[in-house]
Amino acid sequence: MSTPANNGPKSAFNTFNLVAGAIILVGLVITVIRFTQGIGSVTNLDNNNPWGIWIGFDLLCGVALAAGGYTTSAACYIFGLKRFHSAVRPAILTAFLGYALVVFALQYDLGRPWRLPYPIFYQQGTTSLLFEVGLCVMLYLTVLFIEFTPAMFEWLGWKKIRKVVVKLTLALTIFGVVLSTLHQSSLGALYTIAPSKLHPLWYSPYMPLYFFVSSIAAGMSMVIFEGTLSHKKMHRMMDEEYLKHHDGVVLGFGKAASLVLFGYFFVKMIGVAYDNNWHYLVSGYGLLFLTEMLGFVALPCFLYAVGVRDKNLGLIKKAAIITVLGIVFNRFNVSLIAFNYHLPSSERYFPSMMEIGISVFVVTIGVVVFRFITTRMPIFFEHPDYKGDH
Amino acid sequence: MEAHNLQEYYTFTKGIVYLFMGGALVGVTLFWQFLMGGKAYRDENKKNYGDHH
Repeated sequence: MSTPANNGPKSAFNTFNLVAGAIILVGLVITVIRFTQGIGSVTNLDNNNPWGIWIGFDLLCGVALAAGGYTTSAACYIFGLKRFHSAVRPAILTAFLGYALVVFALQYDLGRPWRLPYPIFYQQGTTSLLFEVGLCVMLYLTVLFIEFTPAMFEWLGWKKIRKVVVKLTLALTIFGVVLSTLHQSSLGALYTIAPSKLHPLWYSPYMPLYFFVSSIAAGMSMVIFEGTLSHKKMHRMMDEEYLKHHDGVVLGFGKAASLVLFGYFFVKMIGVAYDNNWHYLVSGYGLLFLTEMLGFVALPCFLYAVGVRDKNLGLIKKAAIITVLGIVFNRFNVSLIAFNYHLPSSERYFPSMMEIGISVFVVTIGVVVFRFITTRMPIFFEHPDYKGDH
Repeated sequence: MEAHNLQEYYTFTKGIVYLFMGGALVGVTLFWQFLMGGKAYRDENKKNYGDHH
């Protein structure tokens, strides 16, 4: 094992920094407008469409795509698949940043960020699914932060406290899986309150199950996708141990994602059969539903399977991209496209440029912080002082 | 399908769901065999048992 060559970025004025800087600057301007002029000044939201792209993309997609944290740590620490250990830290970091940005982005929708602790500590709505989601996200964000801290402590050289936190790994993993199961499904359950607003092809009493099962496939695909991107852009930060296990992680996660997508396809079809919604398939929304199910579930499921059979890593990586896009497509369909489907087109919601700008701003912050951390802390490599100590 | 009462409706929809479940049981077995076969499986066997397997 060798420590990677950490040369650091060559210049502060490289293309990445300039583009990211420009996006963050624009995002800060919109932030000032949002918090001084109100939500109506930057969004196209109205009484018919109170939840827009900030919920549909930043929250629903953010939480689903951050599921790699609990799937990877469960595979490694609960199912004992230690060959996936090299993928745990990048997955935990991605999940932690994903959830932190979900909470950050939610402030744009809610306003008055100083009231963030209110639903938990001041006025609990214990009969509300949103309370359950809020509580789970708060607890899971804390769990992810603690799971991430060993890398930070190794970087800071705080050996004693790192030793204590490492001992909590299994308990934190179990707690994280329980919390994820709860809130991933609860996000789907939120939409069961609106059976008349959501198109019948997407509405189902099984929506909590759909959201949970699809989050597993999303999490594993995101680990493959993020690993592929990191492999290209952060290769200099990776040690031999990480690189040795990379192909095994892609093959293993590809196999698991294929099986999960196969199951997801069947439970979705059972939902259609249970509500006798077959006749909707021969409509515009039916075409959209079939595109989602065949193009973004069945196709990546098959591509993953062929990729695993042939040990074709390129095909598995392509399937991961399709699955990630498919999850975004599904969450958009549920929260935006198939939601309020009965309204005339003049009253339908389309996000404003400033809403899109904030979403791009949030994703950019995530990428910048991910890059900052991975170029400094032992995420893709083992710290020389702790080699084999896991 | 035209249902005249709730019982007929549920008899029909549950019947289709049962057919799907039966199909899924057969389908997942075949899919498992497809997924676990191929080059990856042969390489794993070769590694574990040599060329005789």
